[in-house]
Amino acid sequence: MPARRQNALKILLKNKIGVTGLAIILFFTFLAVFAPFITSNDPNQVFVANPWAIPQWATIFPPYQGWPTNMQLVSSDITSWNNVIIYHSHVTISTGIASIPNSILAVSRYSSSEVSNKFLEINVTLPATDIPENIAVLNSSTTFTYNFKPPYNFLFGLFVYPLEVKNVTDFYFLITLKTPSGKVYHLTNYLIMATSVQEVISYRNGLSLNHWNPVSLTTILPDVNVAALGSGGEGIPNTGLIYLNETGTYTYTIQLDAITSSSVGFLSLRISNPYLFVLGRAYGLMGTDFEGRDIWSQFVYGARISMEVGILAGVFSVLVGAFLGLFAGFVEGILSEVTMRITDIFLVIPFLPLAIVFITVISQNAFLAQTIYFWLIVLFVIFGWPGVTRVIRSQVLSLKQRGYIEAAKVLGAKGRYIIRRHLLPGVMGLVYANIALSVPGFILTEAALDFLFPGVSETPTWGRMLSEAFEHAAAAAYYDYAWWWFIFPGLAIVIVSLSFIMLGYALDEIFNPRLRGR
Amino acid sequence: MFVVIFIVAVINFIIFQVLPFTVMGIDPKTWFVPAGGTRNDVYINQIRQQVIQSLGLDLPLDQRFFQYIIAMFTFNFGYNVGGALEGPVIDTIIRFAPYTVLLLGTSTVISFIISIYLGIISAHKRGRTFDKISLITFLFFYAMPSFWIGSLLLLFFAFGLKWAPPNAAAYFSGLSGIDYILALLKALALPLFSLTLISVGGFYLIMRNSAIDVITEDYILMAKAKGLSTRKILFKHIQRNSILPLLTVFAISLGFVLSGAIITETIFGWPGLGYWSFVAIDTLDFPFEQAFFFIVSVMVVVANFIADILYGVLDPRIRTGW
Amino acid sequence: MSTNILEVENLRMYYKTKEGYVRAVDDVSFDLSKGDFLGIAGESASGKTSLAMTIMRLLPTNAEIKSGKILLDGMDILSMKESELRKIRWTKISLVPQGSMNSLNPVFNIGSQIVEGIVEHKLMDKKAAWKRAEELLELVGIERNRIKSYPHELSGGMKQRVAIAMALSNNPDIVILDEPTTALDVIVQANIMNLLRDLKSKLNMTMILVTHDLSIIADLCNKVIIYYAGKIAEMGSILSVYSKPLHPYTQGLLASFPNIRAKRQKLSYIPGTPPNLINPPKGCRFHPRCPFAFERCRVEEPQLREIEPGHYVACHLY
Repeated sequence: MPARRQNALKILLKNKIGVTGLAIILFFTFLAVFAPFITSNDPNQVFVANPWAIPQWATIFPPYQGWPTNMQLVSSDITSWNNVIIYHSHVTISTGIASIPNSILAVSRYSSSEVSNKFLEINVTLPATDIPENIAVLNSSTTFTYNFKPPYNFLFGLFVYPLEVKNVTDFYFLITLKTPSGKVYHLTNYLIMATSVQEVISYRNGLSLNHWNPVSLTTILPDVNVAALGSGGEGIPNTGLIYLNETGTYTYTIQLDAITSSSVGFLSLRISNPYLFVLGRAYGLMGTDFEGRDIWSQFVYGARISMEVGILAGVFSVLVGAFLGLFAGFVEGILSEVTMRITDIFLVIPFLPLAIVFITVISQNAFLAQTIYFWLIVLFVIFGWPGVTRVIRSQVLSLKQRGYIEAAKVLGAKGRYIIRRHLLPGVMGLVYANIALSVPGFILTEAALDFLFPGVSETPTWGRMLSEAFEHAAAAAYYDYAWWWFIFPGLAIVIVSLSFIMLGYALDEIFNPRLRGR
Repeated sequence: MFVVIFIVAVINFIIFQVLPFTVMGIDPKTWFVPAGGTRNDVYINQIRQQVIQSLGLDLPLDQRFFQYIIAMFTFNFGYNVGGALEGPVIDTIIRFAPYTVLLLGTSTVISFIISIYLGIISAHKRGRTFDKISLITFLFFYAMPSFWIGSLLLLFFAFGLKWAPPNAAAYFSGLSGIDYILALLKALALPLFSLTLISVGGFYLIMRNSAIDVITEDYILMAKAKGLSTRKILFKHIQRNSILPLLTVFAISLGFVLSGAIITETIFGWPGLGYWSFVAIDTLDFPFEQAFFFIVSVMVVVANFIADILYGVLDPRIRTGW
Repeated sequence: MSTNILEVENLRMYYKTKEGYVRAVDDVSFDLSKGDFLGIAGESASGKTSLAMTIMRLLPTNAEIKSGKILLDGMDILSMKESELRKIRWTKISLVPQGSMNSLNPVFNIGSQIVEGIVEHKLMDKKAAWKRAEELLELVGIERNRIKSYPHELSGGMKQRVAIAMALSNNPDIVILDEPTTALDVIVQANIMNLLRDLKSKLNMTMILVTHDLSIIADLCNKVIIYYAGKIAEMGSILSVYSKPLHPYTQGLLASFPNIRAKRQKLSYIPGTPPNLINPPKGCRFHPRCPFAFERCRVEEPQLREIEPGHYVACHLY
């Protein structure tokens, strides 16, 4: 027996088709098993980049050239900026070392290497006025060059540490962007910003003393149908497309304004880590979906479910089927007949509707829903064994016709011996081939069920990815049909199925020499 | 055959009546009887009474089973519940079945024709470029998930180019006469294309294999020796002999084809039985679902039976055994 | 020269395989006159069936005709296109293939299969063709009313007769029979032999009989070719070759037939196995098994030469 297995392995490896199939299967298994190491993003994390981002490698193609990836445009070291005091003789500036907690920094999407630990400390004395007056205090500006296509959206802001706010009605920040051609955009204008800007950029509405506070703003993310058409059909693009739509050198300014009160006021604060972060329109290996989630991450984790369910269901259903087939073929008589009748019944019941009912019922029960894939495998095995039993039984019957079984019986061999020595080897080939050939069916059905019931589980699966993509098909049509979202999961299903078919074909050839040279 | 159908009915009963109600302890009346109106709504209450009686919902399990068998075989499937569908189930089924028949029927016929023709030619040109390309292409179609190609087609042609409606039912419901027919045909195009693409792969592979087996037979060499034209050899001799396995497979696969139709119908919004069965599960329309299962199973059994007969008609060797 | 219904000249046909060329027909030449009944005798896998198939040009795709000429009634077979070949198949030359049981399509009745071969060549209309089919069945000894039977309803011997009837349907110039009796039991064999003898005298056609069985060649044929390893070893009239076998191989073949009338004797046979046609032995292909082999035999291939009038042999002994 071992010699034959070695031999079989050698023939398998020589068979080009079988090897290709096996290689692909191993590749996806690798992806599935090492998922957490292959991708650093959580598949459910939203806004890793701009929604509808194309894969990064697609930027080599002409229509996508120059599309921006995630990037931080300005230096985070505020002390290196051009800091100009406007309100002369009443302001002093100094610098220092900051230490902003990471949890607060996360708001700005920094990678840790970009964090600067310098801050600017400003002390202002404000005069008393009858009515509150607006006084411009400090103007910090920097320049950057931007040579990419415009992004859809960007995030911007800074971090503020108010030390002392005495008799000051309010202070706030005004952020301006000046394009290479000289156009000036007031980014903190409430007409164009998503949130009620006054709340975010001003002290009275949420900044706490003696803490680092993030001041964070984001451009509008409009509903894409409106974005495409606009009320008059002319199209309202994402705001990012307007403000950064030139290439060249931009000037970015943060201005600190204070409002006086009826008494003399004193304001002391620190600012640090300003940022202007572009949400990339190109990201990663497979881009992002409608919520900015990393598709590659979903893809890799999705491989787990598909491979697991497919392989386990395939292996167990065939093992059960083979066992029963051996049994039915060997015993003959009424027991065999009964087994075959049961097999026939199973083959007649429509499987997909039943599976749909099954999933609906299971998902009602919270406990069972957790382990739904386990129950799915059970269902697959229950309905998968009949097909195999038939085939194995026929094989056993035909094997029994051959002389050596009779001879063994005459020699006095007992049932178990005959099964082990004579029937089993003749059947193993069929078993291997059947396993390989039944897996694709299970993968496809599982994916179909995931497609129909995307909400059932937390884990991303290929079927669910396609289901969500389909849900947003209308939107996708405006983003180049979101080819990166639709193609990869479906293609993966096809390729994995094909690779099992190739493997099964090669196994079939090995164990069934009659077929060689097809 | 009738034994099998009976057993199928039993299993159906177990799935839809025994399991939920006996095991999970719910009163069948709630799931099988349409919502009642007010006390004064005589008509509805009459229907409710009728349903309860004819399906034996008040009776204990064994008696209910007896009623069930009678009901199933007299096509009394009860009334739709759940809100999505209304009226007697048998009516709903008759109303929507033609859509499924139209879609599945046309798709199967087209798939058959294409796969038989190309399968035989591939077998004839085995190993050459035509065969290699066909084989890879059809293998790809075979392994393609139905919902994937469906989504892609819909995305591109309906949402993108706007040549076809994104939801078939919404597109032609409410129309009548020639408008209806035109709209129906326009809405049929994409699901038909999608379903055909999926089914053609499997049929092609079987046909090709079968034809390859037949081509190596002596009687094909004989046909060549007689000076028959290649076309005659291919489409008379080879076809007649290699089509036989395809038939049996087709009968068995009917169940799968129907299942595939559920997905296709749901994606395209095609209001056939598959579409409504999915809706029915969502709205817990037990009577409809029970009837659907039963009908599909019976159809598969009948299809198998017909395939056996057809095989005998086409292969005289089997006939001798009759 | 024009009475030669078939002329084969320096025919070479090889099968191309992964391991190399299988030289099934390696420089074969012979002629056939009208009315001849030629037997081609050889062991299994000697290439004799390939020779027959080459004449009909019914070769698989890996077969290559390397050189030579085949003239059928003056027509150059090897230069004909497929469409022209189709016209002459079954009209000028027909075949009763090896294992005729399988050469009948199981899903059509035997009548229609005979009719098909007639109607295809537009020689008569359907009605006339069916009549002719009935006549042919009668000719080969099958009841007319079985014309609508299916192949599986007939015995092996009857199927063989049907195949023969089919081959005769258009009165071809040459009929090739490949192992017509091999798969049958002796009684049926005898029946088929009688039939063939009968037809031979009735119809006066030219036949080529390919077989390993020397006794039936002796019974039916007037000419014989002894075929070995893709080449003709000896050729001539039945009388000359059987009474005076020249080639050691022929001698061995004839000697291996046990003689019923002779005294008890040890069974004689030719030692060794037939050669591999991909790499046949150098020199004379028979030399490894030849009791008379000498130095020249190992080196030089013997040419086919006429030793007596009409009696040819390829052997260095002569």
